[in-house]
Order: sequence, then structure tokens, then C-alpha cells
Amino acid sequence: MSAPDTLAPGPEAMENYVRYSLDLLGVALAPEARARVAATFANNARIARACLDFPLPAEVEPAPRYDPSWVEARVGGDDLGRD
Amino acid sequence: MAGTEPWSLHPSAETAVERSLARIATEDGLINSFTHLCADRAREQARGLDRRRAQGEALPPLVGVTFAVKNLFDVAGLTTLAGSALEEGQPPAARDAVLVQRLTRAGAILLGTLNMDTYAYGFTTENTHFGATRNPHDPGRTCGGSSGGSGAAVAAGFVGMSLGSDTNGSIRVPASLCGTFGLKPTYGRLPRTGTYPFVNSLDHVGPLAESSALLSACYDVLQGHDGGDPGCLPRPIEPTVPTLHAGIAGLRVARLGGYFDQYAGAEAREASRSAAEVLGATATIDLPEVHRARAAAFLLTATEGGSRHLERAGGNYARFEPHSRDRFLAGAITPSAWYLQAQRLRSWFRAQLAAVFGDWDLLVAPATPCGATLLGEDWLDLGGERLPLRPSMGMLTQPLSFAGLPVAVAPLWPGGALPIGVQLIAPPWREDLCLRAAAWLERQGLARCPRPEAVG
Repeated sequence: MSAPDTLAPGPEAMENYVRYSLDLLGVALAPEARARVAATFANNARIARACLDFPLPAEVEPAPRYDPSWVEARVGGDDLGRD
Repeated sequence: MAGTEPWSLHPSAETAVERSLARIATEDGLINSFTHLCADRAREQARGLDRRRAQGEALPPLVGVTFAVKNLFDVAGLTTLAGSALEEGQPPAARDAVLVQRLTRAGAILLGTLNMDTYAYGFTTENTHFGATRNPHDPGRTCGGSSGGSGAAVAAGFVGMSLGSDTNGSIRVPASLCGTFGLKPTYGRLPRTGTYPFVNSLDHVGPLAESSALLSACYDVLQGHDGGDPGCLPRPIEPTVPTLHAGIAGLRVARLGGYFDQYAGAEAREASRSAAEVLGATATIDLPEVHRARAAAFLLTATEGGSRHLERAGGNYARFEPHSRDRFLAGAITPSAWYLQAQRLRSWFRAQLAAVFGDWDLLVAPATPCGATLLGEDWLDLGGERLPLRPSMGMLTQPLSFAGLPVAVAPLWPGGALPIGVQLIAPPWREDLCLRAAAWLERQGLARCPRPEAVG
């Protein structure tokens, strides 16, 4: 996967993305707070570039593997091999 | 083990508890590591252990050792805060987290819960609501984070050991800055059952301690599968105490250069070099594309952490921790294509590391770019870049937890007054090698966890 052009959008596009995404998620923020989130998102995008710029072979799967076997329902107990 | 290790030599468990509580009462007003003390519980348990001792019963391995836990671990009867004021109204936990149960059963005595960065997103434990935890070696400086209370409480001598969590470095950074030993086990080794999650893909739990021997003994007690954590893998218990002092003969050791030198200051590089020399390292190597691994870990953290706390940060913006609320919200809107690329890169990086560990048994790197920074600092100059300090103190730890490798931290003192830890990195499931290396550095006098002068 190569870096899409949207990785280096102008400030206006970045602010629009943040504004509409937050709207979509139902997060209402004051303009100064939204500007801080936009600046943080821009920093995230800058850091993300090193990950997104890197072409990976198509057969590489995401790291988490789903295990379809039944998960033991008990929570907070202790088990296996302890006296 | 009982009867031969220093922690069994207290005249009694009650004495150990009272000594610790007295020191906390005198000094923690300044350090601010505890958010809750369990004095009644501790005294009751100590009396029970002393009765068993008086009756000549066989005693468990950690009898009388005091400990405390980051306040994202459940403790029966206490609300699990996870460093957030927003959790204060939640009902108390019904039972202890599994790891607290295991330590208690092994005779260790819980003294309380410890401060942390809000929801574990930070490396400085400058918690706006609960106050900053101060570094016992210089109270004007941070103790690292997010398990900052866990590092400070051990470094100050309040407890012998503590539990923390490590998503991107949150055990290793405070261990480095406070000068304690610490262990981030292999991803999936220890159950997180009964802890407040941050990033499911990356969350680890583990111990910090005042010595490599106590760290190893504590870790051995913590091991074992628990079905309550779907991320905990069914590995057998593999004790590390029996081989802790096996030395380093036969170990193929390399120092990590490249990225790990670029983002390390002079003292951190010196710590890495001196540890590598004492461990018999024969080469300095680079890890492939490690800067991309760091970026991918950053993305997983932002996305999963942001998703988890979207409603809390978005709906309570004014009350939410100002140091992290914008990062949580920015993370929550990460494009899914970015997230999946990061998860795929994780698989790719694991394959590259398998090749590296075909040639080496142990890798050495600094744990932090520098020693403890001043409280309130916002920026860190690293590798010719000016970086925001709070997310960047984990530059050297983040790629390794991304890979899920086991890493011990041993505290070195390259500048004299303040510590910097070194990371001792082994292949998956070889915590024994990390701990052997830490014990070797301690035996050679290079690593140590000295108690500071009284600070209160």
C-alpha cells in the first residue's frame, strides 16, 4: 500500500476531515477544542506516513487472529496448575 | 526460596508492613505515588502470615513482601480508577485482579493502588486530577509513565515490588527513569483479567521490583494461563528463578544501533554501550524498518485507545484529562485503512525479527532517550528533531512491545545522579534470558536500585 495523497492534505482539508468525522461520531466540540484535535490528527498523519509508505506483500495478514473456539466465560478466577 | 532471600529476613510480616506504611506516611505526601492505601487489609494479612510462621507452617515464596498496583488493577472493594476522575463514581471491584490474587496467595502483601497517566495514555504521570507523581531521586522531575506510581513506589522504598501495565513502554519507561528493575513479558504471557484495558492489541501487564531476584520470583508467581483474558495464551509455567544466576556464557548478545542510537541522548547511548560490553556483546546491529514499527504501534494505540474512550472524551471534554483528550479524539477518527496497514505491518515485522533472533539470543538498547525530565516540560529534542515530550519518551520501547517481545529493564547510572534503564530483549517466551542478563548486570555492579535519601 503506498501513501495516498490525502496524507498530505492542506490545513483546510485536514480540518474538514476532523470536523466531519467528529460530526459523524456525534462529538460536538467548541471551535478551539476542534482545532486542537485537528492539530493532533495532523501530527498523527505525519507519524503514520512511515507505516503507510511501506509496501507490504499482498499475502501479509493483519496480526490479530480470531479464535472461533468457545472462550471460557469465567472472569476473575484463577486456573491451570496453581496450588 | 523462603529462608534464603532477603525478603524473608524481616523479623515479621507485620514489621514489614508497619515499616512500609510509616515510610509512605512520611514521604508520599511529596512523591504522590499512592491513590489509595489498604492498611487494614495489609495488617490483617500480615497477622495471618505471622501466625502461620509461628505455627511452623511452610510459607509461600513471597511471604511478607510488600507490593502495590497501578490503579487500573481491580482490588476488591475499591473502584478501579485507571487514572481517571470520570471513573470515581463507578462501583467498587467485586474481586482482585488475577495477578493480585496470585501475589496475595504467594504471601505478598498489598499496600494500595498507585497513580498513573489517565487511561494509561502518557509517559510522565502528570495526572491533572490526581496530581503528578514525583521522581524519588529528584522530586522536580517526572517518574515516567504511565505506570509512574509503580516506578516511584519501588524506587522510594515504599514497597519491594509493584505491578504495572505496558502498552508502548509504560513499565519500562518508569523503571528507567526511577531506577528500578522491570519486566514486560511476552505479549499473551500474563493474564490481564481484572485490569482496565487501553489497547487490546498491545496491552501487557508485568512487575517492577527493587532487585532482579525479586523481579524473577515475582514473575514466576504471576505466570499461568487464565481464561478470563482472551489475549492470554495457554503457555506452560516456565520458572525463571532456577536459572537466574546462570550467567551469560554461551549467549549471543548484540547491541541495537541505528534508530536506537538516533533517538538516544549521550547518556542513554553510554548506558547501552556499557551494558552491552558487560554482557559480552560482539556486534551492533540494526533492526529492519524499526521506525515504521514505531509508527504502526502509534497508529494502533491511537485508534484502539481512541475508539475505547470516544464517548468519554467526546461527551465529557471539559472534565477529561487535558494532556490526552485531544489524542484520544484524534485517534478515534483514524481511517480504517491506516489501522489495517499497521496490523499487517505487525505481522511483517514479526517475520523480520524471527530472522534476527536466528543470529542472536539477546539484544541491548536504552529504555528511554534520556533520564527523567522536569515536570511540566512539553518538548524533547531528539535526533535533531523537536518532538512533543509526552508521546515521545517511548520512542525506544514502542517498537519492541509492538513485536510482543519480552524485555527486562535494568537500571544504570551513567550520569551519576539519575538513572537510565537498559532494555534486555529476548525472543518470544524467553523471559528467562532477559532476567538472567539483568541479574548479571546487577552482580557485576553495573545495575542497581539504590534507595534515595528520605525525601519527605
